[in-house]
This record gives sequence, structure tokens and C-alpha cells, in this order.
Amino acid sequence: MTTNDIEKELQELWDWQACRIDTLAALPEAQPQRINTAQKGTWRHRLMVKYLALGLVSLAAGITALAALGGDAILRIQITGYVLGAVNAFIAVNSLVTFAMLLRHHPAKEGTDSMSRFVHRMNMEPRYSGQQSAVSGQQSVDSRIILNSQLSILNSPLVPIRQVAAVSAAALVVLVSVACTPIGDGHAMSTGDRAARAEAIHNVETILSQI
Amino acid sequence: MKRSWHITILVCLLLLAGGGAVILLPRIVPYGQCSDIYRQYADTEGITATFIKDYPVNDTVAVDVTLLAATTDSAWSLLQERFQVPPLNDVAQQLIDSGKDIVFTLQASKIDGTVELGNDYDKLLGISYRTKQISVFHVKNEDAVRAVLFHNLDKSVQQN
Repeated sequence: MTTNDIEKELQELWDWQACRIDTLAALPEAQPQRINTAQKGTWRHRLMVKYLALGLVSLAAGITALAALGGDAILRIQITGYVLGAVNAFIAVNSLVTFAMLLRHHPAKEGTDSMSRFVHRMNMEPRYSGQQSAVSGQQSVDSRIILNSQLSILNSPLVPIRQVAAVSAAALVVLVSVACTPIGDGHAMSTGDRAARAEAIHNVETILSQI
Repeated sequence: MKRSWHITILVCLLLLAGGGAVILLPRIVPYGQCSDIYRQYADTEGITATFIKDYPVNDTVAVDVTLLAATTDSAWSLLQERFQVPPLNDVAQQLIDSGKDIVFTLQASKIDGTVELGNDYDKLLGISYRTKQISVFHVKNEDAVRAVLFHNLDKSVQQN
């Protein structure tokens, strides 16, 4: 086999691979489906508002929990205040940090982040005339990689918005319930026995009614 | 369902269960925060001591109450001696024996550990002769004194 034969075979193999990449890039699954670049700013803005609101609400709830429950005379209620304060503080910090990340990541900077630069550096200069179609197919795949990396930044695994909002809502329900609902029978007494408690309250009421 | 949702639901259930337990279980005042009188008589045989924190006398006033209930005659004699409870005359004793109750009110002064009568007081004693109980109202200000002493008067005024 001569050198020309080898080159010819390599060229045919390359063209076949380029055609295969073109075919794959043209598939519907390979197209960026979720985000339209023109609408990306609006979607990002809505996400920012959600994270900011979640962060501020959690911050307020945490401060309220510490102030309202942390100073209670009953140890159990103190612990509840500290736990709710810690949970809300964690949610608030994560939400506000994600909000700050979204604020920094602006669509106008698309293509200038490190992931985009890495992908572009991976592009090789075409060496054969049959590689033009391969480059166009590769560029289509690159744009999908860029969008996916931006998606992964915007949907930060630290703060999945729905799950964290659910935990924040549960903590808020507990805070409001503990702060506004009478604990137990509504009295704080030295004994936990329900019969003794009821009898003591009855006796005090009886004496008070006859003073 | 994704694993993250499993964890989320578990955390939510833990929070709600913990909050439910906090609400349903009775509030118990720690021993160190109970009154001196309660701590003095809590372990006395024949006396059932109960401390109630922030008992609502009316809509605006709440006072701490220490209830001492004598379950034996010797314990009642001890309480009468310690709190200087005046003895009953024959007429009063007949009323008690017939099933009626007499509630006597005393003012006690600010001495820790013991109770002494005096004008400078922070305790109002409600003494029930029939049930052999002494209810100590720990009053901190004039509003609390008035609320306890005129509790029945205020109630009848409101009802009318």
C-alpha cells in the first residue's frame, strides 16, 4: 500500500465521520430546546426574583425564630427557635449567594466565560478540505455545550429552588404554629402530669373566685 | 421521584413532626425557674406543691402562682404555722364542716425562703380552709395586686 492509498483511505474515513457528526447534530435532540437566547434574559430575571424573595423571606423568618422562641423559658422551645433559625439562615445564605451568581452571570457575556474559551480552544483548525462540514457540526455541538454549562450555572445544584422553597415553607409553618398556638394546655407548670396540671388550675381558679 | 425530592420531603416531615411535638407536649417549667416557696416545699411529705408560671388573672395581667395543697392534717398544721394562718372560730368551723369554704387573704413580704406578713409585700396568699390549700400569688406591681384582689368584682362588672 502506498502513501497515497493511505491518505485516500484516511480522507474517506474522515469524510464519513464528518457526515456522521453532521447527521447527529441535525437530530432534534441535539438542538438547544429549553432556552431561546432571545428570551434568556427574561427567564433569568424571573429566577433572580425568586431567589431574592426566598432569601429575604428566610432571613426574616430566621431572625423572627431566634427572637421569638430563642429566649423562651422552656428549653424545648428554645431549641426549636435555634433549629428554625439555623435552617432559615442556611436557606437565606444559599439563596442570596445564588442570586449574586445570577447577577454576575449576564447573557451579554455569553462566550467569554471559561467554559466557552475551553471549548473553543478544543476546536482544531481544519487540515483537509473535507473537514468544513465537520467543523460546522462541531460548532453546533459546541453551542449546545455552552448553553448546557450556562444552564448548570443558572440551575445551581446548591440551591434547587423548588426543594429549598418547600423546606422554607415547612419551617415557616412550624414557626408560626409554635409562636401563635398555645403550647400543650396553654399553661407553663412545674409538673408534666396532665391530671395534676388540670387539678392545680382548677384549685387556683376556685380560690381566686372566692377571694 | 428524584432522590433530592426524597430528602426534601424527609426534611419537611422532620420539621413538621418536631413542631407538632413542641406544640402538643405540655410546657414544664425548669426546677431552677420555679419560685422559692415551691422549691422549699416540693419535697415535703404530705404537701403537693405546684408552680404555675404566668397564670392569666384577666386579659391583661398574668402572675406566677405557687399552690400548696396539704394532704395530711400534720402537713396542714405545718402550713398554718409557717404562713401564720389564723385559726378558725367555732362558727367558721361549723361552716367548714357543713361543706362551705372560707377563703382568707393575707399579704406576705419580700423575704426569700420564709413568708412573713407585712405591708411591704410581693405575695398575696389565698387560703382555703376546706380544701387545706394555700395559693401564693406572686404579685410584682400594683396592677397585679388589684387584678387578684378585685378579680371577682371585675368579672361581675364585665358580665353586667
